[in-house]
Parts: sequence; C-alpha cells; structure tokens
Amino acid sequence: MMTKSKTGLLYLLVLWFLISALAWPVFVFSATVLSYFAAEGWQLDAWTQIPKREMLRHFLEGYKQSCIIAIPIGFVAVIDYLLLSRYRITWLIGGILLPAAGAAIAFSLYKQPMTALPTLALAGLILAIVHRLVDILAGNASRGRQR
Amino acid sequence: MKYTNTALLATLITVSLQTAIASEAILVGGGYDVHSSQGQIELNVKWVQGILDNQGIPTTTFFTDANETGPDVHYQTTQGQVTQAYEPLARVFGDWILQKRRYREHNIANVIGSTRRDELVPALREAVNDTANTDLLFVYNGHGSQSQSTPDLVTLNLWDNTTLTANELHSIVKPRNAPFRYVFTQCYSGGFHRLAYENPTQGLEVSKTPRCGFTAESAYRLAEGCSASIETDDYRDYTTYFFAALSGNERDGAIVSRNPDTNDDGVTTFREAHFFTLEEAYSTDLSRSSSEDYLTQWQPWYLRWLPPTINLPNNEYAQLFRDLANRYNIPLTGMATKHIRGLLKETQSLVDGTRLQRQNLRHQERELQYTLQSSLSSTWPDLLGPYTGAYQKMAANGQLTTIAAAISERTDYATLIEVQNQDKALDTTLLDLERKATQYQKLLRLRQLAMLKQQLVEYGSASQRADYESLVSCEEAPLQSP
Repeated sequence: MMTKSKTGLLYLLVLWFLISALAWPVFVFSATVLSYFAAEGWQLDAWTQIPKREMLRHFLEGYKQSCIIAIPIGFVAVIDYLLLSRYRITWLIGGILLPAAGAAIAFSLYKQPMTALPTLALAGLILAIVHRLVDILAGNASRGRQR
Repeated sequence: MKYTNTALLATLITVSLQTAIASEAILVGGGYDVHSSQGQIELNVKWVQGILDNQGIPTTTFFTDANETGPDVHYQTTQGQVTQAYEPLARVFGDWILQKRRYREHNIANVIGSTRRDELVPALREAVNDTANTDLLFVYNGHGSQSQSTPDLVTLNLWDNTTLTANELHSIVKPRNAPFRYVFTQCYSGGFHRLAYENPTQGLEVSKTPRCGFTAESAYRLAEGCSASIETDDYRDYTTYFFAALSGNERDGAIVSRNPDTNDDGVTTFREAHFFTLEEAYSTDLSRSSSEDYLTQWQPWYLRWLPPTINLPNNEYAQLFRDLANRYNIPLTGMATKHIRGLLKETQSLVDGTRLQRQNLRHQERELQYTLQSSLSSTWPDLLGPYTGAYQKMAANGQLTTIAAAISERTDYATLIEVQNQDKALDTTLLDLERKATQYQKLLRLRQLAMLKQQLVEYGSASQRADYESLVSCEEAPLQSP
C-alpha cells in the first residue's frame, strides 16, 4: 500500500514536472502553427531576418517568464488526473481541464481574449494529449480504473 | 508699471535666447578605403550638405582622408571615356568592372577632418561637447559591419579600415543635455538605435536626454548601399528619400512626388520624412525609426509569439499599410497577408533562381577567361606579368594593341562578352527582384508595427507608453529647430 502510494505520488510529481516543462514550448509551437496558417506572425519573418540566436534568446526569455503560468498548469494536470483520469467513466474526458485552463488564461489575463484563445486552447489540447499518453505509458489504461 | 516693463524685457530676452538656440549638424561620410568609397557616397554627402546649408544649419563635415593628397573616391567613367583598344585585355585578364573605374580626390567643400578613428573620435567628442546645449543632427553616409554578438557592437567602417561601434558612439553623446538625432544609412545600421537608450547594450530604459533617429535597416540586414546600385545612377538609399522629403526636392532637383507634410502644418518633421520614405522608397531597405525599434524591443513574451488579429487597429502604420497595399494592388481583404506572403515567396524564389543563374554564369566566365588566358599566354607569355619590364615594352611598342585586336577575332572571346553582359544584366534583374521582395516584407512589417502600437496602448505600463511617446516626440522635430 505504501509502495503503491509512493508510486502514485511519484507519478503525480512526474506529471506535474512534465506538463509544466512542456507548457511554454507547446504554447510557442501552437502559436507558430496558427501563425503559419494565418500567414502572419513575428516568428515567420524573424526566421529569415534575424539571427537564430536572437530567436532562441526570446524563446528562453519567454520560458523563464512563463514559469509563473506553467507551474500552475502542471498542477491543473495533476488535479485533472486525480479527478477524472483515475475513474473508469471520466477517464474518457481526462485532460479536458488543460484546454479549459488555456481558455481561462485567455479570458482572465488578456485584454483581447480572442487574440490568445485559439493558441491557448490548442496548446491545452496538445498538453491534454501528452497527459493521456503519459497515462497510457504508465500502464494506467491496462490496469483498470480506481473504483 | 516698472515691474511690468521689467517682466516684458525678461520675456523678450528669454524668447530671443530660445530662438538663438538652433540646430547644428555633423556629417560623416566616405568609405574605409578608396575601393569602398563610391562616388555615390560623395554625392550624397554633398547633397545633404547643401540641404543643411539652405536651412542655415551650421554643419561640421568629416570625409575619408579630409584634405590629404591622394585619391579617396572612385567612380564609373562613361563608355566614351573607356580606352576601347585595351578592352579585350581587360575582359580576359583583368576585372572588367575595374576597366571603367577611375580614382580621384573628393571635391566636398568645408571638410574639417578625416574619418580615421583616432582623428574622428576626439573631433567628435569636441563637436558634441561644443553643441551640448543645442539640437544636434548626426548623419552618416558610408559602410558598416555586423556584430556577431549584441547589436550595439555594429560598426561604422571608417577611413584606413578603422571602425567605431554604436556602443562607443553612445559614450560620446551621452553627456549631452540637448536633443540628439541621427540618420544612419549603412548596412546593419539598426544597431545604432541603442543610442536612444540609457544602456547601450540592453534594456528598454530610454535616455533621459532625448535621443532618437532613423536607420536604413535593422542590425542584421544589408542596406541598399551594399547592392550593385551603388555603382550606378540608380542608387536610392535611405538618404535619397529622407532628405528629399525634408527639403521638398529630389536629388535631381525635381519636386518630390507628394507632399510629405501629412498634417499640413507647413513643416515637414523628421518623422514625416521617415513615413514618406517608408511609403515611397522602392529599395532593398527595411528602414526603421527609434520609436519603431522600441515597439519591437518592448513586445512582451506573452504577446510576441501569438498570431495577430486579422483586423488592423486604426493608426498611422495601418494607414501606411493600406496605402502601400493599394499601390501594389493587394486586395484589402482577410486574405491580404496570405496574398502578400504568396507574392513574397514567389519573388524570393525568383531571387534564388537568379542568384544561381548568376553563379553559373560567373563560373562559365572564369572558365572562358582561363581558356583564353592559357591560349594567349602560350603565344605571348609576357601577358602573364603585367607589372614587368617586358609587359611595359609590349605596351610601349604597340604590341598590346595588336594582341587586343587578335583577341577580338576569336569566337570564344565573343562568347565571353556575351556571358559578361548577361552577368551585368542579371545584376540589374537581381536588384529589382530584391527591391520587390522588400516591398512585400515592408507591408508585413507595417502590419506588425500597427499591431505593436496597439498592443503597447493595451498592455504597456504608463512609463513604457511615456517612453514611447518621448521617442515619437523627439522624432517629430523639424530639420531646423524654431
């Protein structure tokens, strides 16, 4: 039982860390994909007009600054797992809190929510997929659900 | 009554003192050696000097080696002046471009010093200190180099292959109390926007003493001055448009194509001249002002990567975008950016193709030259030693003329001429394509600036907005202070 709870705690910590670490890169990836389809975005022109080291500098600066958001997002993934992913029925919608959190960030932190909503929702969706993949890799799908 | 008269006198003295504080200017120009000191740079400096003189602005000019004896400018001679007899030799053995190049001393008036670093820097310190309480305009026409690290280490390439970085110039102008404005037109000139900030290396804190200006390019791109056009009459750098707007006349004396005074107050400010240049310039320059540089630097991490909104806000950059889009027949619909990017991609593809074509032509040219040189040197081995006594003898006894005539008869020489002419034509084609691509990049940049300005209004702090407005205010000055 102790071993099982320790394993469970370890899993939660890994999940928290992974989702937090991926939050910013996934945000940038989502924004870039949407910018590409919109044919407009800073990164599209910066790719050919400024040195790659400058783009990396901006990326790393954003990574550092976004920790204040990324760490709570990781915690949301943990809450999602505890509330939804452990149960047989709600497991199907496990991860849904992540795009919901993205939407909440758009509406609460941006003066023009619609500017950020598509990117944050897409980023949340990608993180939700990661969340589910980690769940599957951890063997939770085959071991069944907690009653 | 006594006190009223005293107050009136004091007011008159104050007003007269204010009107006595006018602008001054420093002009620095020329290449870093005679081979990089194109005649077009000299023409630019003379033209700007004339404009400043007409405005009654005292100007201190530094140019190449100042008034030392020896050539410091090169220019292209006209076809009629080229020694036709030796043309085949130049085409086969020499540099065909150099065949038409001539060297001379500059003929700019009132040059007080050279641009050698160890002479220019102390002179600049003195000039800057002497004008510490006067509005000062600094204009540079020459070449520049990129920084491999931070933008403040971009350089001005000065005479005798010396340099001055933006960081060093920052330390020279820092002690000033009055506004300092700059115009840099060289490659990688955008690094000089660090002059507007308190810290030359990094940071967004704007200098407390107003410092602002305009550059032809970013800190990372070549300017029009590094294109083939600098050797021709088709040279159209940032200076060409910017000072045309300020003076009301083009370089050839014609009146400018439209009134740059957008607010119709009878005065064209630096900022209006910059907007005129943004709209009218058909060149390879993506020029920018210090306030635009500020917007780009300011954009916070949570906004930078996001795709912009489709609808443009209502500001001067959005208006410029619409005006330029209409000029290039870009429909102003939701698909405008996709359309622009499609055109940009297409043009860029043509640029790449033309560059490859030119590379192949130059390879072919070298092979033809080598074949001809090998064949000719087997008959006349002295041709391979152009600075030797034997070669001089050939020149003196007319044998070179005979050899040149013999070269002209060869069919592979006719092929060489054709290849060299195609190369030259490709230069012109490539330049036009690069200019066209830049117009599309400019459209995208204007959209970005429009969004950035709106984002600053919505997300910027009060001090950030105030800093931006201080730069705009600095840019909105006329050429001659009132």
